[in-house]
Amino acid sequence: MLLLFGQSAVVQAVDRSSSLYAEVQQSIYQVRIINRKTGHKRTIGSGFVIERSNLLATNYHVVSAYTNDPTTYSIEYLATNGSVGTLELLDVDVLHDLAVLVADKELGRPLQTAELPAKGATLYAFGNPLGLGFSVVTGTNNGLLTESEDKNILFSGNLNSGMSGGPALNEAGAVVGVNVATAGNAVSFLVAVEYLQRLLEKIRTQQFQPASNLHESIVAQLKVNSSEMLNRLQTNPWMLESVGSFQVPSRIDTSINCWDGSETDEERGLVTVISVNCSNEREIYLDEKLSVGNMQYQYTWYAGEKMIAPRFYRMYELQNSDDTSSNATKENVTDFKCETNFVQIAKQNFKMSVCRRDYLRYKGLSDVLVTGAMVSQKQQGFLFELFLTGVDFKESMRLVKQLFENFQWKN
Amino acid sequence: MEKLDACLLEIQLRPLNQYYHLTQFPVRIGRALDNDIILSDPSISAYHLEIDKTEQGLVFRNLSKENGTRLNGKALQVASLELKQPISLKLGNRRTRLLATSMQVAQASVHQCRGLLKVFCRPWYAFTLAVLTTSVFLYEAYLQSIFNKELVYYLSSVMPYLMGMIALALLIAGMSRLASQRWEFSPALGLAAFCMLTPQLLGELGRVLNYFFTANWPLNGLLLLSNFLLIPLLVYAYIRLVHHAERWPAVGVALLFSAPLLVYQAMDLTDQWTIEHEFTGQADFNRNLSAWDLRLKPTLSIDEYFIETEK
Repeated sequence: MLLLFGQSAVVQAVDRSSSLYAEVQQSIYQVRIINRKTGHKRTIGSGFVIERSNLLATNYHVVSAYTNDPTTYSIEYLATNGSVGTLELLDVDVLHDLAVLVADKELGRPLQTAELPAKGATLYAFGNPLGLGFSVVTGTNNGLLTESEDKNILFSGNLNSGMSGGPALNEAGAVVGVNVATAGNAVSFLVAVEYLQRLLEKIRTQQFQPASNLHESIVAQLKVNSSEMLNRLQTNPWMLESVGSFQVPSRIDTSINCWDGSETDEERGLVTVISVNCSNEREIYLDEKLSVGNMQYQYTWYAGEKMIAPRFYRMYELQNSDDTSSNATKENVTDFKCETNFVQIAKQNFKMSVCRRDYLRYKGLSDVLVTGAMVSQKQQGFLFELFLTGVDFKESMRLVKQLFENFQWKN
Repeated sequence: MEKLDACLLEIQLRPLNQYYHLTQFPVRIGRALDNDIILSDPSISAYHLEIDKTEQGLVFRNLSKENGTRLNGKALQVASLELKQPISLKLGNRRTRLLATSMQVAQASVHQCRGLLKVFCRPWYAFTLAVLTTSVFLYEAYLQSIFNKELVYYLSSVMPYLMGMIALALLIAGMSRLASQRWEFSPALGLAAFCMLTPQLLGELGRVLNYFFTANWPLNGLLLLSNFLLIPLLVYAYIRLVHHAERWPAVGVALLFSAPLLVYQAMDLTDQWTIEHEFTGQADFNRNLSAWDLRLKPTLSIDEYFIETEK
């Protein structure tokens, strides 16, 4: 019985995906960025008709090459029947990786939207993986990632590149999410459709005309997001956690995830290393080499009571090197400018450096790096490092100050 | 005529010149064995030069059809001139001079070794410096390890440096021996020890100063100075003190011997400058830490600190 039931369920699902495909294929398109110089596609993604028969929704990261360099690139669609045409960008939501495009002619029937079904419900993701052809991927809704900042839907299905911007539909064929990312092995992410609805709402107020200054609007979105994040972090109740002889704020927001990074005695010999790394694991995609919105910080405690002070400090000094990795290039950001001073935090002296580099195109945003090393103990060390991307410098300093004020020395 | 016995031919050979008293004229010089003075230099002809003495003075006659003779820098066929010494004569590629025995010679070269330079003159000092250098490397190996190790582990890690130091000393002593025909091992060991110890000490000093000034220029400056000046200065001191060279010849030799290294350092420096002007994406600030916490900058309160950074 069970087996029979299971079989029939699979048959039903297959049936539904094939019937859905027939229903929506007129509303699903490939979105391609064309280099005007060669006429060839540079990046591809997927899109779907929404709201009006000439509006297409996709991901911001699909069209970002165009927004960053509209003179070099243009946007085209490719229909399931092979017809092509040009698209114009109306507006974007970089925070949720969404973009809405308008075609010069009718594209097809706009898809309906619906609320997210219950966890475990089957979803059907549509798109054009690797440009191989329009496909449907059946997977499971695993709910909103409420703790993460982008609040995406966890979709257990195999999304592939090229499917970005395609719709994820419920059984009824209504859009509940937009394909956006994958972590491999059927761990994929969808943008919740409510953010698309908000973007469409904004476009309605613009009378379906392109946003007057898209770049400024993107910068404004990033600033608002960064301010909201920094303010939220400061108003959250903070829990303190022990790292060596210090008590420090660890998980200062639900969006922040902390991992233990301690090293074993085997690796570290006479030194005891206790380390905690926290990050919001967020990357707001701006272009191939630039993403912002990331916050990571690290506390590392070193204890070497079995070593003489110069020997301990030789090791400690070597550890005092940041490993911030960022793909930002000189086209995007200035060089880091740093200021090093000594500051007393929780009765201990720290050699503390604050570095900032400013974004060239996204005015008002900076990357901020704060690194500190305790220098008031001869056989104990404590390194603190914080790296924020795409924030307002002054606002970030308020958070850093609050962090320092919450440090406590246990002895 | 009365000064004939006072005439002397100096053949310049390192490390000691050869001298021939010219008493009977004419004097024929060449490579053939029936000459009055036989010079077995391959650039010298079988019969190369004849010097005769007449009423008017000395007469020089070039006999060589191959490489010829130059008298006071000019090509010679026959010349007769008063003896005004010294007369320089170049036979083929061999330099010689005609001198009067009454000519004054330079004063004996006496060098006072003072301070650190004693390592070039006193074997005991050189040996002590070598031991000190080895100890510094031993201490460095100890500082750099974070594991509990037996002494033998640190000793073994120092062996390559010790080997390098001895090899360098032997190389210097060997070259020195070729030039001076004397074995001078201890100054060579002193030079080798100096070469290895100085960068180590300057590095340590630089780190202390970096921390003191909260900046990277002290160490960078010291390394730059040591890269460009250390080897030429050491070679200069060595040539002066061990080989008793005159000041300017010593400068010449020091520059000549350090030239490849100086060019290498210059190349390295230009590369560094190029890299510094490129975008790296790395934050550049002083990362030195010191257990003694000696520094110029004061410790600020959190409030003061943020007022400072807002600037």
